[in-house]
Amino acid sequence: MRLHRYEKYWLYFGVGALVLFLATLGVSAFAMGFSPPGHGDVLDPTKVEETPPFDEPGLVQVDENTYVANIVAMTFGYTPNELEVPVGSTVIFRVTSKDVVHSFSIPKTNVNIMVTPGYVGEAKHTFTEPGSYLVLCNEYCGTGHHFMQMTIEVSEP
Amino acid sequence: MVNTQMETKGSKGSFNSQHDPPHPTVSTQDDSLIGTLISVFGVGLFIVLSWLAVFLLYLSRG
Amino acid sequence: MMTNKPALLDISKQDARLSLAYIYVAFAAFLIGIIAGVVQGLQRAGLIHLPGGISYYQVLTAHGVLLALVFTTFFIFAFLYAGNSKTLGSLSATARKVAWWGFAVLTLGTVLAFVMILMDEATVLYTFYAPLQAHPLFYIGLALFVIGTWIAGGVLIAHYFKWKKAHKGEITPLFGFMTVATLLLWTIATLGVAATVLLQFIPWSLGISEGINILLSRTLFWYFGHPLVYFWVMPAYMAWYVVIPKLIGGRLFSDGLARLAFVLFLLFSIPVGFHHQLMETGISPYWKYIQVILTFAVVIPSLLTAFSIFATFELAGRKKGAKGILGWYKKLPWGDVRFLAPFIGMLLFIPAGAGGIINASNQMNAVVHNTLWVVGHFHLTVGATVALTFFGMSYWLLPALTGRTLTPFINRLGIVQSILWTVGMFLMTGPMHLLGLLGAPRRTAFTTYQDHPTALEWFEGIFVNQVTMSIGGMLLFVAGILLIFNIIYLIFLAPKGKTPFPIGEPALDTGQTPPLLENWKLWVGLAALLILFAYTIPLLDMIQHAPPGSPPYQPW
Ligand code: HEM
Ligand SMILES: [Cu+2]
Ligand SMILES: [Cu+2]
Repeated sequence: MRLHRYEKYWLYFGVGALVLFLATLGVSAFAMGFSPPGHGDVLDPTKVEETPPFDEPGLVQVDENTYVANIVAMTFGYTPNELEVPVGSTVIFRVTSKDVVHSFSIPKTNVNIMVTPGYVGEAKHTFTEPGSYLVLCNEYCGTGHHFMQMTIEVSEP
Repeated sequence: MVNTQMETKGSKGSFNSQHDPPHPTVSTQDDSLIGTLISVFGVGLFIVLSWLAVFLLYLSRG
Repeated sequence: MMTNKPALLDISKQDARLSLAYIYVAFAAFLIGIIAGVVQGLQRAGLIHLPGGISYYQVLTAHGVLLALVFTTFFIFAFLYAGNSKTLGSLSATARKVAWWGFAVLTLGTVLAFVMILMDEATVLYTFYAPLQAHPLFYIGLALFVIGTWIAGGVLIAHYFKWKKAHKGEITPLFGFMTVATLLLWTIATLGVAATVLLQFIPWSLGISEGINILLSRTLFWYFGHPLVYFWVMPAYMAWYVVIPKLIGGRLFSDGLARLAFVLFLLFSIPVGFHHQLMETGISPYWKYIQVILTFAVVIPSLLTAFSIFATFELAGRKKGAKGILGWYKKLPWGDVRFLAPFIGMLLFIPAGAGGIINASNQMNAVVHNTLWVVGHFHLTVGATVALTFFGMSYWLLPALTGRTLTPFINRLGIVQSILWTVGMFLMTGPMHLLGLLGAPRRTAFTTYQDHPTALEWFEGIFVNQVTMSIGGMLLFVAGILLIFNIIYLIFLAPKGKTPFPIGEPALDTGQTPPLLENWKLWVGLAALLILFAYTIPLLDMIQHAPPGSPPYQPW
């Protein structure tokens, strides 16, 4: 079994491109912090309402421009179902589920969290444009799945 | 009715002619695969460009 | 209809009958599946309402199960049984008996699961993610399905080793080799889904265990879910490597490289399931990244395949006197549906593969995960590449099994059908990809999210519009119905005659294929090591640091 010369060129090119993709992804994930979610806190999925911070879901300001949003997902909605932050804010979303698997996804951003019961999913986003942002659930969760939504109002200062 | 047009016997026969050595080492010359080389690099280019487009979209949404 | 004289058949009559049984189930599932598909497209675009309280998600569950699991699996076994009977010889009477038992168990499981879906007792989609809980009979149906495939696959693996024993020192036919690689992959992969169904879902749905470890069940599912897609792709590749060279009057470019590609699939397509779980918590980013690397490794056999296929075409064209750099394209049999359909499938595998690499790209998955992009992606892979290859195969496999012939008329209808399917796929998957980039969710019934501008945009474009998507769906449906007509014609009405099962001449380098490639103990051992490496630590972690288990929910 011998490789044809042209096939070698092709494999160098193909494997080279794959390695380059991987290196770009690896560096931006681990050196620049663009990592997908990893380990997170766990909690009892049947006791979400009694477990801080989800006993009082909502927005917590951390510093001038940074907020933590603790959100509970359930069939078929989120608590709270509206957030308001000034433009330029960075929001760390921490989301858990009271029942089945949901998602917390904001179209046209990189916020796309799988919300698995028992785990706290996390993602961070900086809102640089004002407007009303739609949040939706993109994991099937039952008959009302397509009604599951909330909004984030990003206001001019 | 046998659809002879779609049978490939004719071409297969000629391809299988006795000119094939019993244990040939490599069946082809380089220049006969130049079209293949160009075709696969076209595929490669498409893959790289698509990937870059979505990667840039990802970065722009950071 | 089994009145054919055996002389008209290329394989033994009894083996043909077994193969045909699989074909019947496959296309029955296909027919119901595409009806569901067109309904979904119309519903999602807001063009129709489902009557009588039928839910979008019930229809979607049927579509996913019938097409992704039933149509593919049954068609694949039909092909494998016929091809191995042709290349390795007829099954022995005992083997055939066991094979029929496999078919029976597989079909029983399918019917059980399907009835539960029809009764709205299992509206959990084909991924059946916990803690959604279906009726126990749905899970029992799934378990029987898997066990049925083990029996059916076991017969073929045994058939191959029996041949090997009887032909010591000979190189095995490529078809048999590829069958074994595919079935070993399937067997190793299904251990995951069998484990979660038997150890988690069935006890939990019967009320024997209280809570379910959701992350573990998802991980076991995707341990199976990714190689599942290779279980669809590998038989299509078999047709490309073994059958297509024959149809174009050429010869496979290289035997060794073809075998190498299949060995690489066996090694690298299993330890990669985390690329479906990149957006979820509870798995360390390092282990995710390791599986991303392994996912990229499984691209390599497809790179090899791309080269082999083009080279096979070019050599065949040049033998026929093609001139210039790309003149050989003109020598391909464009007017033959048995070539054209799989060829379009190959072409569509280019965007499908590019999309797959994007999906698996670690953090970039956030852009596309669970959006319509993904639905566009797998309609290109399985719904176009694999399906078109299977369609093309049907035009010779069915006449070969029934002792009939493909007429020029049906060939022409087949070409119309293939082109319609292609245009439909373009109009459906194009918008799906782009809508996905805009964030439109998959698995979601018609909704405008209370007329939110972000969602209204999905209905406003010319091309990037859910309505365009459903027009594509309608074309697909018409093409699918035409296929059903052609198939019925080929099975029951076409003129009698002998249609050979087309097996290409061995490649010229066949004698030089290293015997190492056929060392299955080595490859299975290495595959096991890679799986243990990629999964042991994250799996232990998942079990040790698990939150309390979840109770069942039936929110449909
Ligand atoms: C008439 C042809 C077809 C049409 C119109 C069609 C249409 C659709 C639509 C609209 C969806 C659902 C989108 C969503 O809400 O997420 C879907 C899902 C799906 N389709 Fe098809 N499809 C067709 C053929 C096929 C074929 C041939 C296959 C595979 C062999 C296939 C496999 C799937 C799978 C696996 C899903 C995902 C189910 C899930 O998310 O649970 N489809 N299809
Ligand atoms: Cu949902
Ligand atoms: Cu995958």
